Amino acid sequence: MIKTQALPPNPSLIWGLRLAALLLLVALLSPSLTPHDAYAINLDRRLEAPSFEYPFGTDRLGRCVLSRTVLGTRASLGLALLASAGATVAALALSVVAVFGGRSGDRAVRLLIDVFISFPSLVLALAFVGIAGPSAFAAVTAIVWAWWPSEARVMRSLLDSARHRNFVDAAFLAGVHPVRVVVRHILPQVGPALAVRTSLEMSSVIVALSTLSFLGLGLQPPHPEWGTMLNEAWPFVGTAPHLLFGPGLALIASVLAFNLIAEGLRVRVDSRQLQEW
Amino acid sequence: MRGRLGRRLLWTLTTIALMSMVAFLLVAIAPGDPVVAELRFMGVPATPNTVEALRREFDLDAPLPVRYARWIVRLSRLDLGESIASGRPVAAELARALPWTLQLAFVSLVMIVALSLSTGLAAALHPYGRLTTFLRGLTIMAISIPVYWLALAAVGLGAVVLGWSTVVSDASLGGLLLPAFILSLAPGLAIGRVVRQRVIDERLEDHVRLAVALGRSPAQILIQDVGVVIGPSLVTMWATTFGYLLGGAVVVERIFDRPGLGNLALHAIAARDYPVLQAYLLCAGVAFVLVNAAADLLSAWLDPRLRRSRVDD
Repeated sequence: MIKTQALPPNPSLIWGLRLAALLLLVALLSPSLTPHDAYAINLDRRLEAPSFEYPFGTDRLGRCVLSRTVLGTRASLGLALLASAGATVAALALSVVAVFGGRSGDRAVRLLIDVFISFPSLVLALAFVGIAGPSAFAAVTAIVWAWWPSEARVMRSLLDSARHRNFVDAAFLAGVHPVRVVVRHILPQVGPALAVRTSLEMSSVIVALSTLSFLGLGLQPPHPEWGTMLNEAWPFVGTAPHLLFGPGLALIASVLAFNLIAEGLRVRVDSRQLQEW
Repeated sequence: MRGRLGRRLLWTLTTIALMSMVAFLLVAIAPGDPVVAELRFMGVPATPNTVEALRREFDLDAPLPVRYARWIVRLSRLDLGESIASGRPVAAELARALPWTLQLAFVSLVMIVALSLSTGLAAALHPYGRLTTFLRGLTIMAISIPVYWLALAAVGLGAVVLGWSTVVSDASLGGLLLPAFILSLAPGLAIGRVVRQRVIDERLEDHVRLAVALGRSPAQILIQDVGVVIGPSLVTMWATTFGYLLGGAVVVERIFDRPGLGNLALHAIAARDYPVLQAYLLCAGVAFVLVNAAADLLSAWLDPRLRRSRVDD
């Protein structure tokens, strides 16, 4: 009864993907997109309001906020991508151990997940950075440590139910190579749900990493990063509130992009499930 | 019910024990020698003699399991060591900061419950109306704005439009309600969407249609027929936001200058004050676990099927 039919229009997914593509493009081309030198200090023109010359104004050292926001796309999104990928890979590896590693493997992984998931994730990340000392590398590692458990919990249960379908057992019994079973029969089942999960993970990781930078625990100045820029803007919110605009807009657009993608994909996954069962 | 209670309690204690191990190991295998750091802090030159003496005083010459056992024994007497920065007992510092954070978290939690119920039920009344579309857009927007940006914007707006000179933080009500509202916005709206979905799903169930056919009032149906079914899972969901609140509290306390756990942790990070950081991690973790355990018990008690199963257990 499975019929191929045109999928209904999905504005969330389309706009999310467009926004993400735009941000990716900005990140790749950023050095040639900046109107001014993002590091150039001009103390005569500190904390200026937005103008034609400086569309987002200038910061406390007279640097162009627009240029710093554009250049910051690389650090902000690049580090988030790195942390997100790290957490996903760790979670996937441990889930595979749990599902295919026999009863003791499953028990050990589940215990590990249960213990680490019991810490509020941002609290765990904060403690980790505090011990390791603030740096971009420490922030990324901390996010990986704090974010893998919730990913692993979802992946383990997805892989587990995918592994126990009859056709997977049939493939194993027919002597198909285990790697081929995983690639051809198990991963396609969990792919869509995993895509939703990864997209949501990415949006929460962007927020968490920028929060660490905002607290002065991520990428260190003078490198432009949205959280760090907001940290520098903080003392001037009363006198130069325009400083919040540029990095805030970029940050919210990035998080929104991945939330929209997740939202759009979720509709797809749900309608697929409705069709299949 | 009693067997369930016992199992849940046992599991909670096991989790806390394992969490204490994580908190201990995080500091024990930390890079950098705490003895050298402490000597530098005291202004004493690090000679082999002073290092050795301090190492013995800090109990660092024993193997790891022994040190963990001793740490646990001290922990059981609520002795969390002394703060490197202030020299005061860590337990006293925690006790002073904890009420600020708990107050903020619980007020936020109440706001989350109110916000999710009001938006969820309002949207469920008109499942495909304009309000639902509006709330859907608002929710996606709210979960996409970082808490700290919202807090900064609120402070900036207050300063520019309302002319606040400083962010008043002390025990004043506004200093509590504004940060609590900022924290509760995203999770409150997000859970509101779940409430809407669950209410709509439940309305199609046979037992609710029977209640409608019997002529019960809408309010009665909402509480007795729908609320009873979806209530327990909502309690669990509300409790899980407590972890988010403890994390978000760090930022909000920092911006609104509340002397809570988050601010304590940030000061500890700046001063490389490992004992305080360790206590912070453990304290926040245990608080989160206890709230979740309490929510599990509450939702089991709220669920008539589980409440009646005490004979079987």
